[in-house]
Amino acid sequence: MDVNPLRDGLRIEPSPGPTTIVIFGASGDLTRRKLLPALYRLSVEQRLPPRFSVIGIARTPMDDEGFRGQFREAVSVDRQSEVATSFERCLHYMPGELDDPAVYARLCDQIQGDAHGNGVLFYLAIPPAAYSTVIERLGAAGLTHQKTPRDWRRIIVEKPFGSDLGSATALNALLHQYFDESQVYRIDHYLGKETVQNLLVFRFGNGMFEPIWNRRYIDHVQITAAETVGVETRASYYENAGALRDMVQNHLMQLLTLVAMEPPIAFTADSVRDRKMDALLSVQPLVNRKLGTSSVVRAQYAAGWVDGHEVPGYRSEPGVAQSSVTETFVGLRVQLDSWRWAGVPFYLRTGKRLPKRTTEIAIQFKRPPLEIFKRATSASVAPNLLIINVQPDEGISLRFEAKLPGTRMQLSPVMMNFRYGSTFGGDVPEAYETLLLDAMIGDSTLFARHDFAETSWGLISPVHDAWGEAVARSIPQYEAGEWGPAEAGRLIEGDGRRWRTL
Amino acid sequence: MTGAPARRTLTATIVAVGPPERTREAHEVLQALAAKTAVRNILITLGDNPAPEIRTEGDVVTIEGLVPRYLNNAVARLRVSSMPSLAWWRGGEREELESLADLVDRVVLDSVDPTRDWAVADTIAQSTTISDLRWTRLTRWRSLVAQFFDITDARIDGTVFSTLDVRGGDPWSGRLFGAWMTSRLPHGESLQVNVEEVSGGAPIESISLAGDGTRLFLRLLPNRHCIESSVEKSGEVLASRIGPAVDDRLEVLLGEELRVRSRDVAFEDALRQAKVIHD
Repeated sequence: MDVNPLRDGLRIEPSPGPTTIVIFGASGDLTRRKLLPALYRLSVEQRLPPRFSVIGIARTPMDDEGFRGQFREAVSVDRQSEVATSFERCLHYMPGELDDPAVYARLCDQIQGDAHGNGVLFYLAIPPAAYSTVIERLGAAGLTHQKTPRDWRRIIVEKPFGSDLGSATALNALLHQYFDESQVYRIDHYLGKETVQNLLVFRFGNGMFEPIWNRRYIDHVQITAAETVGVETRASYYENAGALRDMVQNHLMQLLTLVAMEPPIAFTADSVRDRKMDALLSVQPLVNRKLGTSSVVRAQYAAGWVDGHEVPGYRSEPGVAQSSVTETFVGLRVQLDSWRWAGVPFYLRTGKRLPKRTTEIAIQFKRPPLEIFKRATSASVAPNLLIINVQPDEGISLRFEAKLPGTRMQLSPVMMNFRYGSTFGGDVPEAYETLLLDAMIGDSTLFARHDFAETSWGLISPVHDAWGEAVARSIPQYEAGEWGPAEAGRLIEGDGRRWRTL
Repeated sequence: MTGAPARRTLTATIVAVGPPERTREAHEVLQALAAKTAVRNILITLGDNPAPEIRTEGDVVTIEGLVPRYLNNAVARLRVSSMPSLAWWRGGEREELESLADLVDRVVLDSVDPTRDWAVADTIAQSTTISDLRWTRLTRWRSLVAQFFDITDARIDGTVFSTLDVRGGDPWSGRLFGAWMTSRLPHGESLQVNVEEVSGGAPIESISLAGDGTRLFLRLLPNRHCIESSVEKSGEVLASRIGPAVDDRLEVLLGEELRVRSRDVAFEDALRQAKVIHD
């Protein structure tokens, strides 16, 4: 039976065929905090196939029971829970060094021992430095070869995907030695968020927005990804990355392209990703010979107050160098060379230790061409604003002018709000649930393609290079709990605009 | 009016219609649903009161004793305009059901005895989409069985299933499940369906699909919260798995129905087949 007759009309989405997920880095933080809980939730929702297993691989000495204990801790389930017990039986663990060929030989035996055919999803939840070792060993062991469509082999690569254009290109080249591009899933968990997916529905599932989604009606776009947390335990990674690599190259560029892309001809992986690539290719270089990096500002948080708590400056955080010039805040003005967006700036900002945790896209429309209410109101009318809240309160708001009740003609801006939580109720799936399931099913729409990763690095790397060449190795500071440095304000105020106060 | 949900973006109207003895339960369900979902709820009990009392509590509007011929008028007045509306039919006369069906986008049947409703389902399906909460309760069971057929599982590959045994407290649910299998499986017409009523049991307690020495077996575990599914070949259990059973609280089932907009041909086919099994 090629088509399952029992799926006809079944309301539950198709679940993948028999699958084994091999997690490299199984004893790590990502596995514990995200992957195991996401897989368990999928199991509870009956989205996993009847034949499903997880093989965890890591250096930590542990057996199956230890790995299952780790799962119990991660999802805080009742020991008596039969569902959890049943799921646990799918979890297996294989201790070993990632560069040890014997590990891959054992893995080969386990995977290929299943005569019925099995899809295998490799998940690289390991430091990027170890990616090449695992990819080469998988290739050498013949584990990347797909004999039949049922024996599919796919690989999920976590961010950061490279640290600059050169390393991203090299990583892609290595992956393509052993995997076809259709087997590679570069994960960006932002793309698994409901609101990000809803942006596509909002733009292309409604007829009324697309006609005004262009330079004729839109004044500018602001994309903000603000965190209240500091560097926490990630100093060793963050010191070499900084906000530009950690957030802009992937998350913010993804959001930008979803806002800027042309309509795809279908909701398919290739069509959507082609249009996103078009948008990314239209982004003007962030560094130019005349103006240098003047469209990018960076800063680092100093000591201050966040959420009512006094917090240390970045350089006082554990693992951070006293003289570090790593940026914890970046603000950018991005221009797109396209018919749709010519002359419409996209302002991007992201930072740590900002006053509020929020990620949003704000589309500010142009004012009406004629202010006919000028005589009635002293203030000019507020421009229409469309806000897409990515997190934490997923939803969409629209600001427009309304008449204040009364005999006088007075105007006031009002907000029309749509919130996912209160409108639809129920639990919104975690991004990792959506993305893991998509990878098992073979839908790469919400994953970054090789050319996106490289083109994005092609925009970001020159900025880093220019910063590295700067004579004065200093960086502006902003007080923790503030919305970034004064330089960020000047970046947008120079254009006669202001950052939104969130 | 009390409660906060008025500030929310309303997405649909649910019109619950039924006999007085089922009103209290429906009212509680609609209150629970309103707390979670942005839906306007209208609860109507039919009667002969020419000036029925209209009460509003939170997001639920209740009309008691409405004269049947005014049903359409009341619903048209109270529904959220331009948004989907769903009729939750908890029992009543055929004429009322048919007139209500003309006004809503989806009819969800939920009568204690569905015989009369099922008899007019085909007619209703010509004007609007139709479902039954019994069918919604079967979703998890159907999904579990369907998974074995996704990419033909080698353990059941080539098996011609000949008997289906369904045990449970609601014989109509068992019949509907059997009808779905016979209407969907290749060679389903030759499947022998046996429905056994279990007094006081859950709507479905167990399902056994067998043939050629192979058996797919699903059962509700004693804790009532989990379903165990297993494959047996020649008496040997090849695999078993435990998953959560469907959350069959009425507000959850209705919430599920609100998510569906399209016509459910599988249900309509199963319903036709169920009538054959019944006859």
